[in-house]
Amino acid sequence: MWRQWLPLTTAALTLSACNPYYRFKGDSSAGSADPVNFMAAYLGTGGDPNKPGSATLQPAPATATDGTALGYFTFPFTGSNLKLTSADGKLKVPVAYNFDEDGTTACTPPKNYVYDQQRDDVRYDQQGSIFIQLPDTKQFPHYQPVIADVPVTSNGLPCQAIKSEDHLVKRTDVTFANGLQPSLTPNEAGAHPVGIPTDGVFYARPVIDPSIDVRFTDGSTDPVTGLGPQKWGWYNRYLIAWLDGGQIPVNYDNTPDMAGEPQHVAVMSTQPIYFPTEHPAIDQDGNAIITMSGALGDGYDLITAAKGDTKNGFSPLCQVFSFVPADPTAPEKNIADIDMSTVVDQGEYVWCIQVTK
Amino acid sequence: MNRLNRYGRRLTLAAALLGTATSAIPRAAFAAVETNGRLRGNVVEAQTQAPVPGAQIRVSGPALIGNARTTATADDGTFEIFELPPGKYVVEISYAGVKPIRKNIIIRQGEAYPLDVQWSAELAEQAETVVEESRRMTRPDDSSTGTVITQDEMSRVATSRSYQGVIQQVASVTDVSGNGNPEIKGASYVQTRYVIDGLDITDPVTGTFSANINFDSVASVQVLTGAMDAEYNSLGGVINVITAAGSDEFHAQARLFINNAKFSAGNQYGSSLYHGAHIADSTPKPVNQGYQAVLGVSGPIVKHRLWFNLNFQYSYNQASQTAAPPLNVSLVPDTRNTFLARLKLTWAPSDKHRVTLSLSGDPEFIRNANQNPGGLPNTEFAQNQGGALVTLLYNYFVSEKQQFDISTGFQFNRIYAGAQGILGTVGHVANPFSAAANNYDPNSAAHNNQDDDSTWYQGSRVQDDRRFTFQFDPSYSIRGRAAGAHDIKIGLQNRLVKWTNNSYTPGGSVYNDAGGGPGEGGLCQIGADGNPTSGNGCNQQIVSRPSTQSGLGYAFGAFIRDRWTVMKRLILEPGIRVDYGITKNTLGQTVSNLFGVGPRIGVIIDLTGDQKTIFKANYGRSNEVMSLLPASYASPTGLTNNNFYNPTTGKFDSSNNYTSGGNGAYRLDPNGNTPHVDSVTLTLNREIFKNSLVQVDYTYKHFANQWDSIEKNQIWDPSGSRVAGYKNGVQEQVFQFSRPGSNWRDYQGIDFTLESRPNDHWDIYAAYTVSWLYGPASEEFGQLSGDNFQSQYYNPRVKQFYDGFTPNDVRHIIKLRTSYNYKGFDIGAFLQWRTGTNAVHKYWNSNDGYYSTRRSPSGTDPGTTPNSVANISAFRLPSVMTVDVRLGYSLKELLKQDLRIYFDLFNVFNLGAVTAIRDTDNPNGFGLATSRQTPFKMQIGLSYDY
Repeated sequence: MWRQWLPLTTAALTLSACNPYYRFKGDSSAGSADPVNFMAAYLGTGGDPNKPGSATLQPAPATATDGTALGYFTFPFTGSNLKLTSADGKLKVPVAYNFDEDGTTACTPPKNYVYDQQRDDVRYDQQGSIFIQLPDTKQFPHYQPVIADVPVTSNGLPCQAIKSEDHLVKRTDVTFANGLQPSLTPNEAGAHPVGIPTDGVFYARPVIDPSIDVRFTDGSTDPVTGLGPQKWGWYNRYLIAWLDGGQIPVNYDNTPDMAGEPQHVAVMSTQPIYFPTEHPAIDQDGNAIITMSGALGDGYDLITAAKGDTKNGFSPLCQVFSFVPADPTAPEKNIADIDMSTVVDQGEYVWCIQVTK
Repeated sequence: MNRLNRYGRRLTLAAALLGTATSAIPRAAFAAVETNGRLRGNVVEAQTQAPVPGAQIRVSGPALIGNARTTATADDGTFEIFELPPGKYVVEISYAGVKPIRKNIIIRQGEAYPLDVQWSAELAEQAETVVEESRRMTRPDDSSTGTVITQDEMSRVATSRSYQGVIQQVASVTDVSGNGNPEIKGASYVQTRYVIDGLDITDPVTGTFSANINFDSVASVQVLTGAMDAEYNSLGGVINVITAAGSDEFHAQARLFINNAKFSAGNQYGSSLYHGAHIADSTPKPVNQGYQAVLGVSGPIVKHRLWFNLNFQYSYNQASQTAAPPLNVSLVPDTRNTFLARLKLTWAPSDKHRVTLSLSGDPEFIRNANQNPGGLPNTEFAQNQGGALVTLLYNYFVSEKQQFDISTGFQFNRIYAGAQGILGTVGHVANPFSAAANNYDPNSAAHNNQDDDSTWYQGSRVQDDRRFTFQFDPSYSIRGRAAGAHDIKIGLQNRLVKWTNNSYTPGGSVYNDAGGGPGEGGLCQIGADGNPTSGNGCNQQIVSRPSTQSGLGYAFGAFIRDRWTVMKRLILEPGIRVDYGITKNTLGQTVSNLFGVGPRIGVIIDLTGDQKTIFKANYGRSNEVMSLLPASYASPTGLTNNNFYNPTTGKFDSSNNYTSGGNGAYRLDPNGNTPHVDSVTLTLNREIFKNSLVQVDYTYKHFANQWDSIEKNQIWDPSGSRVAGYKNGVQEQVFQFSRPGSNWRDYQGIDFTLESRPNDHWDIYAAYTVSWLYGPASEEFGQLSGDNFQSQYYNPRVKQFYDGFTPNDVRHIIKLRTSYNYKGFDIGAFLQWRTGTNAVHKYWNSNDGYYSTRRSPSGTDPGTTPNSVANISAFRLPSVMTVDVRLGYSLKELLKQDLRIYFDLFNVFNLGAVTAIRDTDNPNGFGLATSRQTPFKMQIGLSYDY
């Protein structure tokens, strides 16, 4: 008998050893995400989807009600309403898997691991969040930078061992919220309406072209890493960059529907952001000119609440208002000083993703 | 016609970025070879199979200067005669009192001719017994793989009339790069060793062949593809060329080969992969033609003692590509004038001494060699190359059982290459572009438009490159008996190489423009102040400075190998070699200081006891201890500034600017981790019927610790698209030249071959190879891609994409060479079919200013749906098939003179498979064909031999 199976086994082993791509299977890194189909707003300033690495992204300066100087990144709000769930409670937004949020557990780094920024694409003493949508005009044309939080406890699994939802939902060595195991069809289009153990928390976390040179408000980068405030995660085994806009405050609409059935619809709360209709400017020769027409992001914006300031109504989704400054050469720096009679609702929302530096 | 290129790769953008001068370089060490063959056999009594001791064996032939060689059969009836120069021989077996038996045989270098004689009274009673024995041999005492092609076999089929072209006929030999330097069993083409009359002519700079030889002066070519004994040290194959010597008769030869452009189909194809020939194209077809004339004379100066062979060859060749995107203008033909001269003297002062002296020269002048459809004539490339080599072989036959040999020689080579306008005259073709694009100004800077891969205004960096090689290889052989028969050879091998290079960039700068759109209109316009006038298309400015470099290398090898006939059916080939090599850079710093031990063991079993069914197994390690390539890179060069356009200032003063080259841009790592290959070969062959051999062999090779350049200073952002910082705080690239353990590749291949010469009319060689070649060490220093950024050690963010099937992985190869002659008519054909090579899809990298990054593993394409691993697919070029046919007729019967006429038909089906594509993710041209098969052409040849 051995005379029959030995040659076959040998041949099979020989031929299988000739496939070098076995090393590329599993949940290995597929490199950074290709922004070729990314929406323009997520490519940064000067971004060319065919030539990543040439764009920058710098926050616009603004001032909070309490006088805090801050910066924020702007992304367009393209939704038709502020609802995060439908009447039957199903999610209308994608989930994202976030690991060890409470800080009591952590993934396991390689033995004696010391982060080497030249060697390592990401830190291997952390586990990046797993996203399931990109700002991709073809695959996710209705992309919004909001995710429903799915907390995951890593239980000490190797850091960055998980790079895709596909892989994650099949693992039994991690713990999902409430001890539930996801029962979804991996990567199904949309927002995974059933079977996802979310915790009812929503975050504004725009995924951006990972090659963007992201800056802090003052134009600087971290002196150690050379990077800005972006964070790193995974999408379908591809490395992505994302910005943390913070938790989105939610109200629930319990108004019964037309049939009288009770509803429980999660609706995003917003906060106002104001910009002056005029402000001082500098001409091309560097000379101060009196004023110019203002627009959101020109650097004179007033925002109601800084990130995390829930008492004052923080939200990463801003409702845009303009105001007429009393002195266009020195616009108001506090919302309380604005002449509210001049305030005009611009009829739009924007994602205002704040950074603290 | 013959479009061989010994300049491994041309100066590339990447090389310019580094400020390096030469293309690749080379392994240097030892490919000492066996320049002679041997006769091995036994004589038995036909009826009883009892051995016949004491029979006299006498071997004579025109290739053997001096007197005939003789020996006698041993007690077990066996006999061996060593060191027979390749050629035809008559073997005379005689015994006291009876008439001799005579057999005609052919001795080939490096091989043992197996001659088993069944002695019978009836056979001996015949007046004169002559048996034709041009057998295909099982090579029963040698476990190496490969074959020998004789001049007779070469003359039966249409070839490019070069030894580099002829070797393409052998199994496992492929020329993926298309420059005449073949890849053999997983080795890159810079790892093949070329030896002419015992002198290793492997270029100490490019690692390619470094000398062309008059085709008609080649007597035979041995192609060793693997499983070599300890005398050899090559990570790839060995090409062992033996040139023709004189004889005791005067001979003269004249050849004329004519391939006028009217005999060629012209390669007018569409630019896409699926396009065929343009059947109604009325524009003039690109010129493809060649002419060649040969004169030779040979004979005795002193009969039996001193012979000469003198040969001269002149070739004129032109080849051109059709107009194609992005510029769609005609190209000035690639034109080559080649002069080859060779003299060989063979001197035998006595039967114990033989001296062979060879002198060769091969100047060649190449113009318009780029053939880039993205460039006008003033961006063309020219090269003057050539040199001279002297080889001296000395054989001292101390006794029948002892021999002392010296193989020594010297070679000089010069390559002067670069912009066509510097080396020669710039041609002109009709085009709609500006005067600046059509005239040549030596002070103009080159512009590369990244938007459509077009090149403008200037050719490549000019290099004056010289190489000097000296070799001295003494060896001692002794044969005797102790627990069987031994044939032991001990040898020392020394190679000293020197390289110098002076280079500069015409115009001083190269601009890599992007974003301005395709064509000349998209170029960045530079004003008189050296700054952009508008900024349109401005991307990167590379400012280069002249560079002067040199390198010195010495390698030493020592080996001992035995061919131990343990018993009649079992031969062992134990051996071991040690190698040491050292290289120095321009400053005299030690770049490599390497030592390697290479054990070898071969087992040969004569399964049927008649030398007709042989099983062989072989393991061996070869070490590459000397390579001047890292010495050329790890050396001070002219500083290069890589400047990026700053839209704010309108100048090339971006904060991302960095430098490369200069005095401090390299790091040394001279010791340890010697590059090596371990190989296992299993062979089974069988002489299935008269003069017909079938063979199957399996080879596994593991290439380890291959050389590469490791960038040590740039800190890439996590996406790998831009540099976020520098480790030493200085915006510069710093490369360490080393041999990491993670730089490896594996080869597995199976060859099936059939060699048959059933009678004097037919000659057949057929081979099928299936192989896999994979691993991250696909090349060294950009040898294959021409871009040394194509390495797993340049940008660690895309490291994993270098692990896959390598660019020269060819899955299936079929070769069929067959010929038939009858009454002066000859017909011969050579068919080669191979699957396409792997390709790589390259994406834009903002830090490098061009397409240097990857998004999927080597040999794959990420697909049209981004960010989906499920869409990653194999990425191969189409299969390629060529059929070349020779029709010949000898007028000897009519004219009583040896006059022949040939009609050589190349690519008879006029197939135009794509052999290279534009692999950059350029919206104006990704996937377009940049190279196709040479179209059909016919060549008329006349030959006269006296």
